Amino acid sequence: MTPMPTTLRQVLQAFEEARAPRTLSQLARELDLPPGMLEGMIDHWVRKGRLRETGSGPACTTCGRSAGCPFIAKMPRSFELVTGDEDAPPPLCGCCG
Amino acid sequence: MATPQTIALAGNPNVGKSTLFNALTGERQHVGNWPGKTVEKMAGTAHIGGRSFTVIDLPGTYSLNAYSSEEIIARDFITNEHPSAIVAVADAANLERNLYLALQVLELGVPVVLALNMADTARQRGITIDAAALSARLNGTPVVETVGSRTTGLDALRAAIVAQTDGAPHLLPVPVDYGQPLEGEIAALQAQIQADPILSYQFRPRWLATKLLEHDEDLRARLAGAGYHALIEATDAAMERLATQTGEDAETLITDRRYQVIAGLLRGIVTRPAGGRETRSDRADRIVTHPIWGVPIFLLLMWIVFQFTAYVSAPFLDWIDALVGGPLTRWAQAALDAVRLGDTWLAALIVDGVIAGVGGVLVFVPVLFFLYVAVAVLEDSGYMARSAFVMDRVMRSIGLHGKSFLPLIVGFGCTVPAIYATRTLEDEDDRKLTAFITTFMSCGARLPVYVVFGAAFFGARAGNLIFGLYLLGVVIALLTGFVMKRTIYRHKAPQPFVLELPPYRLPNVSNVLRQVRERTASFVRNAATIILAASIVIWFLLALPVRGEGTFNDVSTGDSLFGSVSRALAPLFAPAGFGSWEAAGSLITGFVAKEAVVSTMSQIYVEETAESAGDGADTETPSFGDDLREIARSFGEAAILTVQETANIVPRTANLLPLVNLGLGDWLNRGEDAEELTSLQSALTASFARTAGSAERGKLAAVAFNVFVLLYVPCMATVAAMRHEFGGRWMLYQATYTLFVAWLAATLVFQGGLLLGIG
Repeated sequence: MTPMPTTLRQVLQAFEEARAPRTLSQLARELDLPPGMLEGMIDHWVRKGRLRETGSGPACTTCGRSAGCPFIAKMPRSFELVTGDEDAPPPLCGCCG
Repeated sequence: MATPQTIALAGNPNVGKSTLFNALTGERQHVGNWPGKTVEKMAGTAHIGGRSFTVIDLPGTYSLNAYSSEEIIARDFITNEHPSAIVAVADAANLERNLYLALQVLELGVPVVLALNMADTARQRGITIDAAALSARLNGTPVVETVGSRTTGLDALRAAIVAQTDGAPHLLPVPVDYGQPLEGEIAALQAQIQADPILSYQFRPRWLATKLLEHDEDLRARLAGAGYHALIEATDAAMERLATQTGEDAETLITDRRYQVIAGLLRGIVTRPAGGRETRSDRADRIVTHPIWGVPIFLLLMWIVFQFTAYVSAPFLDWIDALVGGPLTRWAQAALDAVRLGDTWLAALIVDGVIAGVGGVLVFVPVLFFLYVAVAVLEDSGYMARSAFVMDRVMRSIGLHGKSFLPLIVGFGCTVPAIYATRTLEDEDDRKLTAFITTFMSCGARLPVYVVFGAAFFGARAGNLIFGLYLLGVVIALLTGFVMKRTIYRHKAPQPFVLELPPYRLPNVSNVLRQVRERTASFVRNAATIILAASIVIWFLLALPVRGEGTFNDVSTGDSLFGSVSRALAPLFAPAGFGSWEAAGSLITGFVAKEAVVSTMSQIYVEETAESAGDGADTETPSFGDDLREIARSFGEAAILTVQETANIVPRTANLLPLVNLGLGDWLNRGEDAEELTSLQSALTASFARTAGSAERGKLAAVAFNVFVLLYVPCMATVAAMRHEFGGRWMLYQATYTLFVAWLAATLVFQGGLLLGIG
């Protein structure tokens, strides 16, 4: 008998089977989970390397500001499946040594 | 005197743990570092019920696993220091997430007080928690509702701490039942640990068995170092058996079971408002991120942003322009006269080069200021994050990743960070393509050009021109992406993503002002460095004669080195209707930075106007006092007009609806046509009309010029960023492509307009 998939597995499957982007709230409603709990479960898969969290990306440092780029703030976190066939992450820009 | 007992505060980040710590300890605190770590350690003393407690504020963590140094610190403190009690601080509005850590603390077998902090926020959201029932389900573990910021519930918390540390034996919470087959493996490992007196003294055997099955690297390393290889081997064998039986790794099974236990604990205890888990933000998102309405709402908001920017900034733009072109220039000339430099080339450099060039750009500070206010309001309200989600459908329809829109939004501010922001895309082709099209997004530096031309040629409809240009940039970017995804980069289905949207909220004034200040300062810094340097270079090039009979600093601008080089390039732009050397020259310097387009125009056109008007015109120079009075009077007028135009945004937006025609406020009775053109704008309308053949054709040529400015290489810094990220070849390819697209689009606008009978 195939064991019942865990709720954590269902979260991962939701990413694997997704055809369109969703908000965290939408996914929480679909899986009937509290958003906070879903966030914790997504973090679990991020730690396990099955999902990836992406934010705004690094600032460019070309203007020499140490406090970060004022134009790049406030972008939301997003999560996506790690498929294993991605390119290696780009090296850091190295402008700041 | 008795040694104080130790209690520790544990909790997720941002749950108000430090506020509770401060409320418990008052001024009696000291700050240090955890041994061997850079993590801050806060310790303090609390006097409760005649007893002294040492209170430790543990680092904020989501769990007690060994994923970060903070988690190891928190866990080691509890297992090694054996505190008398732990206050597990949880966000009452997000208990399902926060109880995960609290449950792990309870599993350690330490007396716990559960503080449901920020209870007021939970109540405001309509969330109610039956604390007594939760306490009963946790086998009598005290559960206290607190509001750390208002010290509400502190007395109950203190009483619970005293009760948990009175030395009497306390019932431990019912351990988490992990179910079979996990429980069987835990029991086997537990028995092996219990058989070792040192291990069972140091750790709670059941807890250690569970952690080992969770593949806790830190504990495994420590046990291996101490020679417990058999225990590690037994753990590995157990993990393998579990994976075979369940198809899942042990850590996932344990984590999943803990969440199930949390769901069971809270069932019937936490109630949420009608509508279940759907918040007000969720309901708003049903409309704002709707598959059909989302895009028109986005476009409408962008239209309002550009109307706001164009109209509200206009009064202060005029005020600064009058200040720079009038009193500031006169005072600088007077100061130079006073030190007998008034008739030298240095005076001309300062007045015609630096003040005209840099001042010509600084005039647009109000424009950028109000643009950044509008953008910061959208960001802080939570809308901007949604725009990426809304635009995802559009992006996906052309084969691009929805996340590509995030760099594109950054590109509205500055193209250089937008290119680096493409690093959020994992696929190299997606990254290259997104960076490629990012340059078509209209950055803040291009806005002054649109504003000058918009006001000069379109008056009250300037906002529409600006909106149209921004929209055109997006359309060209998407079209380019569409074509390239089907030619150079074969279509690869983009990976869907899950976006964490912040709840909508009223924008925080200090957040908005901070962002506006930082972004505007960036524009001013640019003006003070790159534009200053460019203005000086342009002045020298304009002062060097290469034709005619002029001498250095006494040459007609058209006969200067700059004029001659620009004249050679001008015919290239003739098909687009702006084949004058002045326009060509401005575009050349625009390659350095787009702000330089306006500064160069200020230098060329204004000087030409002065030449044709004659330098020796007899006009009475106002006194210093007159200047100051006029500056103050016009400032007051600009302030009133700014408020008026802000209020006018409502009727302007309503007038978009059919059959609606609301009147606009005109508080100073200036009338609609009272808008005066600046000297640069007057010179531009005359020059473009002359080059294109008529006033109407001049308008068409002005639009074509702006289209060219929108689409060609943004600036030197962008080219450098492109080369840095993707190599010299790619950079050349991109620069050539943008120049070609810019020329083609500008020519199509002008020639197409002529064909349609415009002009």
